[in-house]
Amino acid sequence: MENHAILVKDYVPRSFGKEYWNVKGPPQYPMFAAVALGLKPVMDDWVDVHDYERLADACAAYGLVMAPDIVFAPVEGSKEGIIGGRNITTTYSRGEKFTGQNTEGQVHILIARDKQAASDARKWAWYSLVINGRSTNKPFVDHLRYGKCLGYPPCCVNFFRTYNNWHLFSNPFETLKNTAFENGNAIGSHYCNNFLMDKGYSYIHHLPCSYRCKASTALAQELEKKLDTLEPAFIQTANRLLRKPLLVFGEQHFAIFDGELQKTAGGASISYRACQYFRNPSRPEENIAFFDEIQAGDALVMNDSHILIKDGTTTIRKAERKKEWFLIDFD
Amino acid sequence: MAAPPPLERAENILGVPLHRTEITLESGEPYDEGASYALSQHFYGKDGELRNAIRNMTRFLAAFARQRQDSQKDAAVLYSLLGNLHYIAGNFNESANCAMRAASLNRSDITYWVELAFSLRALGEFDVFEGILFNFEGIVRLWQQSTAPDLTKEALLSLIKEAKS
Ligand SMILES: [Zn+2]
Repeated sequence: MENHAILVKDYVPRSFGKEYWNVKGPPQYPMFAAVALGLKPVMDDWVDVHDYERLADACAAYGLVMAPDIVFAPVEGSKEGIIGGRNITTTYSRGEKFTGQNTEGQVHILIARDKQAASDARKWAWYSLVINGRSTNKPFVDHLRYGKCLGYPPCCVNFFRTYNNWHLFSNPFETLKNTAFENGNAIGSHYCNNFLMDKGYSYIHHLPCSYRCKASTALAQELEKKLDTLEPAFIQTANRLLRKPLLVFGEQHFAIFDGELQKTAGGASISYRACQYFRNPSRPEENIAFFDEIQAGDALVMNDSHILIKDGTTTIRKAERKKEWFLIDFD
Repeated sequence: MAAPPPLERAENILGVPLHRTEITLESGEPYDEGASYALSQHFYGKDGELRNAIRNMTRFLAAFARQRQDSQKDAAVLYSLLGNLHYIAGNFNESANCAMRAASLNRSDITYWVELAFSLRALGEFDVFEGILFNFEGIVRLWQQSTAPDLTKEALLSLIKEAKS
């Protein structure tokens, strides 16, 4: 198969939240909608230092306010020699005070309906930035408080509490293991599919405790219902894309298929017409080497130990499978 | 028989295994959140148990401070642990006070400065938080040279001002 069509295209809002989208683009469009519609108390976001005022205006148009936190400034070079380097990802940022006069970087901001809520959330919103060659983690309990502030369901915050160490756990794989399989149904619900959140298609912006988490589904359905009256084309596009099967490698690292998943006794397979690969920008070291073959093929079989990529009846690649990789479909 | 070391006694009181080593500027090590992590996992969301733990640690620390004036570094660790408990409970003024007390008793360990910074952030004092983090080494060194007996909020603000200049 030689189909290089892009499966996941950006959605451009026709009306609701257009002002936000014009500054920020797709990544957190549904979360902005959720805060603007009063369904989510606070969201956090990043905006280029030059676009800060424009975003503040976009927020104001929906009765929202922003609290600036700190600037994530770009860094060149490796994390070698940084005190606390083990705690940060391969691509990391330098912390710079937000002055309103900064010349580069992304301002971390909290968006809410009132200043107090935004400022309260900011207390727990610290990220491990590098300042003068030193990276400092926040107290662990701040992660839990932050999740609560952002309106994440308690079950999902508790799940994070158990599986937070990305040195030890692959979060999506743990979520999969915690998903109760229902015979005859897809593995997950598209309401709990957060893989496409950086492309702007996800009703949730947290790691769900299961791909059928009831609390996450309820939040997602509320947003779907309200946004459907304001921006129906977005809901149609999101619901179509969020039901497509995925081959998941890790957090923010997966391939999406225009195709169907079949579960078999020894594993699962996908026959597909097109596919697209998403890499985790913070962990380039995890990129897989065989996506070109996946793209050249039309079917993929996953068993306990390997992934076989096929084009018609020919196997074009047999790759060793890591145990935390999985295939998943959504209904 | 000699009493067990204070950290071991704190572990028994709290029912949580704890590990603490001194982290200095020279060691090139970051703040170790191991103890804070273990305490959060054990106590967060369990208000009754947390209240008891704070009460028992406060008593133990008061007795320890009275009897063992020779052992300031151990007392600093105990203040820091009590501060962590207060932080988990949401008593941020108390956690800030514990961190300042610990930094007064042991001026080498940077742990207490990180704990102080986050306590102040939790109180909404973002400028002071950033003042500490952006001038970290300067502040720690100035405090090591200072002859003031106790770190106070006023002393902290002067240290930040001095380190910036
Ligand atoms: Zn959940």
